[in-house]
Amino acid sequence: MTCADFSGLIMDLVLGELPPDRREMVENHLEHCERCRREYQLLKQVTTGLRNWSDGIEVPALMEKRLEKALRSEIKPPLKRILPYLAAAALTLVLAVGLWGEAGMTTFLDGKKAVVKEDALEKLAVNPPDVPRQKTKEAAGSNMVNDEIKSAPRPPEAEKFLEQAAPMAPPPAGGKEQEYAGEIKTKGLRAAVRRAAVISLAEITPDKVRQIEIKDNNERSYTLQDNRRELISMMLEGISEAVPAAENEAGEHIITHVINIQLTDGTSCILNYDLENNAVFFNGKLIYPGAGFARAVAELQH
Amino acid sequence: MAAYYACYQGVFSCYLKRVDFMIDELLVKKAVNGDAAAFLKLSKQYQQPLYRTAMGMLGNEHDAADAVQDAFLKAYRDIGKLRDPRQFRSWLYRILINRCIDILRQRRRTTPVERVWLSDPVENNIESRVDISQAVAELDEQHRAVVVLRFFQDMKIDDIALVLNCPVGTVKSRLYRALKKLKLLLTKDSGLGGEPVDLC
Repeated sequence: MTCADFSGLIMDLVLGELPPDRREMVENHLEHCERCRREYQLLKQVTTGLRNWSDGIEVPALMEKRLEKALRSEIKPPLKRILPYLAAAALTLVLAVGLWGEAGMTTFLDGKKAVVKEDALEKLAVNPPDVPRQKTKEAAGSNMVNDEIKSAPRPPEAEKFLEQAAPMAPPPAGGKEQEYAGEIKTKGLRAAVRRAAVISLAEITPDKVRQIEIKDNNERSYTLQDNRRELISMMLEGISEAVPAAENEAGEHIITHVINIQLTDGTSCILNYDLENNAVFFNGKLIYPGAGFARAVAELQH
Repeated sequence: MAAYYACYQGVFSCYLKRVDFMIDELLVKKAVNGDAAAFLKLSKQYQQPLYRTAMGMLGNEHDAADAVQDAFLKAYRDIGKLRDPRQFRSWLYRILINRCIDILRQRRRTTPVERVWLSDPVENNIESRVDISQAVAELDEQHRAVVVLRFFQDMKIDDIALVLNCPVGTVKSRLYRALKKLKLLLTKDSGLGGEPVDLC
């Protein structure tokens, strides 16, 4: 082998990438060849110099604070950025108290965390709790862990309105995936929800969404409309990445948010959301959406 | 006894590294799920290595601090898109290197590179360190990135390939060329001695 052949091997030796069996051969050559030995020494000096330079670099004292400040301002947007959102939230709150509250959404959460078992959630996901149905009552009687979930007293006009509503589709047997084909009529929406042929989460795309109303367990309401399209897209992206829960998965979930996705064609679907576990109950099915969903909800609360 | 102690130290340091890795992964998972506090912890953890890398790439404190801050902000905005939490480190370094390259290109349009490096010299007591920082400034951005990731972060060639999204062979050849060029520059400029060798 010539010195030129050893050049690459010397480089590997300097970088510590030389296999042990070849290392001995190169070291033997270095002992006898002054030119290659010199090259090796120079390369070693270069790498040592680079490491010394790196070791001598200290982070400026103020950088940590500066970075933290920048990140915190990103996490908590400045007031001017959230003003439109606050206005929308205030408007939604007024509407929610007047309308949605009557439809049972407030009583569902009642300002506190509602602890419900999965099988009860299957029914709740399909039926808003104020809908006077036998199944819902059964569910409340046998499965609710928390007595906070109660029906709210309804004014006579609400009763009349609800009587006109067609019965809901029954919850799925065994928690298997199904598409929800039924009619939702709640007084919580400005316009009566029309009967939907099929509402499936997979079919919901950002352009089909008119708005998303979100109510959390601190009685705060949020409305996502055109002004927060990016959050709507983020939520739907999270839904599109959702993975279903294992068939035998069991446990308690604390519903922290009720999310009402209203579509441009007048239909809507309601998701019960457990923020802690990033779990969504929809149509009797438990799914785990992608990170975008949790981020969008978290972003709202900032 | 000494061999036993060395072996024990090696195993223990491996164990610590593994624990660090697991904590990292947990924090990244939380951050991906929208936990801002977890991301803040990660930012504190990675601040120093990222700053060193940025210094190697850019050569002055002000730009390096800007690049690190921009990289973290971008990472925070995009972390929801990170599919595999185990790739967080290489993903973060990729963001930083890209930001540094953007700054270098901006700088090339406005200020001569030498002026930026010389106007803000590295404070040190070792003469050769200044020489090396100036020699690194002579490398183009791709070669500089490889050198900095290798010698400032002790990254393996495979990991560098992951960060720079290029084949392992390309990383190796860039590293060889960069080292040869640095050797040439240093033997010429700082009197390390030795005759200039035929390069590249």
